[in-house]
Amino acid sequence: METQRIIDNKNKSFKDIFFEVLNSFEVIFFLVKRDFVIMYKQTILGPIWYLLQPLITSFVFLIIFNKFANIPTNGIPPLLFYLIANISWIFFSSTFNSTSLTLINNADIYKKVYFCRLAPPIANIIIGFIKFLFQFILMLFVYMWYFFSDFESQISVTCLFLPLFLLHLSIIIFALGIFICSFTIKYRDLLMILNFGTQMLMFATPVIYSFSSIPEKYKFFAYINPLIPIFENIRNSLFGLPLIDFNYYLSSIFVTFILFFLGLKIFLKYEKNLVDTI
Amino acid sequence: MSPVIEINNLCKEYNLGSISYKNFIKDFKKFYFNLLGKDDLSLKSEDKILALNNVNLKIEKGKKVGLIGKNGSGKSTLLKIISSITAPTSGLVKIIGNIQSLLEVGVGFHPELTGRENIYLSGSIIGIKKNIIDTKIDSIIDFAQIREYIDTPVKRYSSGMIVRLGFAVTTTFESDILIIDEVLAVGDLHFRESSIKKMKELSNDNLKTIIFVSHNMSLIKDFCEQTILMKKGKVDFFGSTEIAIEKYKNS
Repeated sequence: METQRIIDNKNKSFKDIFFEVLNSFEVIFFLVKRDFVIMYKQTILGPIWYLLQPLITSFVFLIIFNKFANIPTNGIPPLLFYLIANISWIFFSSTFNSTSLTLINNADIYKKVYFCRLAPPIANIIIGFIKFLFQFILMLFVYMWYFFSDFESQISVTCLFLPLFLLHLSIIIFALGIFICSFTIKYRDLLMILNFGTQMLMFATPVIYSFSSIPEKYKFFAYINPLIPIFENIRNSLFGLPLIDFNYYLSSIFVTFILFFLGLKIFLKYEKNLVDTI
Repeated sequence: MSPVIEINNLCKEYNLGSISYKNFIKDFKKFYFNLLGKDDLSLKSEDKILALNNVNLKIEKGKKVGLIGKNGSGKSTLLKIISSITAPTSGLVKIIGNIQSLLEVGVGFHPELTGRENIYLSGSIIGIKKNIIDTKIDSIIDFAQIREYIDTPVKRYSSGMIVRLGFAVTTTFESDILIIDEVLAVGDLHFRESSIKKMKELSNDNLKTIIFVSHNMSLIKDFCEQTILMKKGKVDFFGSTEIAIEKYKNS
């Protein structure tokens, strides 16, 4: 009548972890709630900072990359061009960084009780996405302001695909995050290069430039870096520009798929003994 | 009675020393030899310690079992494996029914959250469903005696209040098997008495199996019908509580 559970040295299967995550819905919910409440309890200006950060960076980008360096923005108002890319990039880089730290940060809980080991990383990505939504709403206001003054945007049906691209980006963050997590349990070296690495990665991703403006012979990078098609598509879908060549996007999905299963596989290998080495 | 916990040839190995580049070389070698399908002969056994060495146990349903032994005898490691916090190196544990371990009170409490928010957070982490907490939140607050502070952040609480709240949350969970690791040794005299009363209440249930770890022999005598004596990662004795305590004192 009662279920029998066996504890041994085997790794969990993908199916086990899938159902475990589904059953941990409430833990994830309360972890998200915890981080959300803390986000506001820290300072009074807290939520406003989340809006100021991308605005200020976008202004700086506008001056340096648009006014000084004359990098074309494909007819999109430069501020909007940088704003959407910036908030997407902040979502990627800050969530990726914090997800990589979730195992270390929650070590005290992991050591005292068993609960779904994937719940904190997942909760962390959801929190990152909520912050992104705030910034996205800000961007929409700026968009509207431009829309009613002089910018004639061709809003097309492609913007309906935007949630799909954001989901795709979240999956990449999750995959890379748990991948780094699994290694940082034992070796903290990866944390050292993480900040630096994501910074470098930004220049390999169409944040300050658009994909169409890079020379033809370098375009094959879009097959390797799965972020390129996503970032290009997020921006182009919003402003009614044609999406990136589908082959690039297909390759991005393929790379994401590999990263996801590789990350999960390594996580499952390390999670069972993580409290011993953390 | 059938066993609810069955432990077969359980071993747990720990690495000694701190983590440095040497571990990385070792890990890399292991990976490389695995790839070749050979055994790495350079691995020495002196870098490792067996915290649990071939443990075999059968704990029957409804029994209240004590677990005693010196520091470092493997008590905590055994509990950690039974409660799935860490995996064994080899061997297995079969468990029938759901299990809850009270290795610490107030797991997952966050100082910035209020008492009420922490009840839900900590409760969900230890596996209590939200609707169960909803129905029991009043009894939790009353047992912890913190009704007037329940909507204040926990960082304003005294340490005693945090412990009481943590204990109240953890004992709400209705499990078939309960594991308790010396959490009773906290709080003031008054609260200790009421928590011991609560534990006795829980242990009156004939279907509930309890494993109780303590260095307090009189508590063990009070609670437990059977006692496991651990020594250097092995089960030295498993049987009546009197004999186990006698052996423990003589060793």
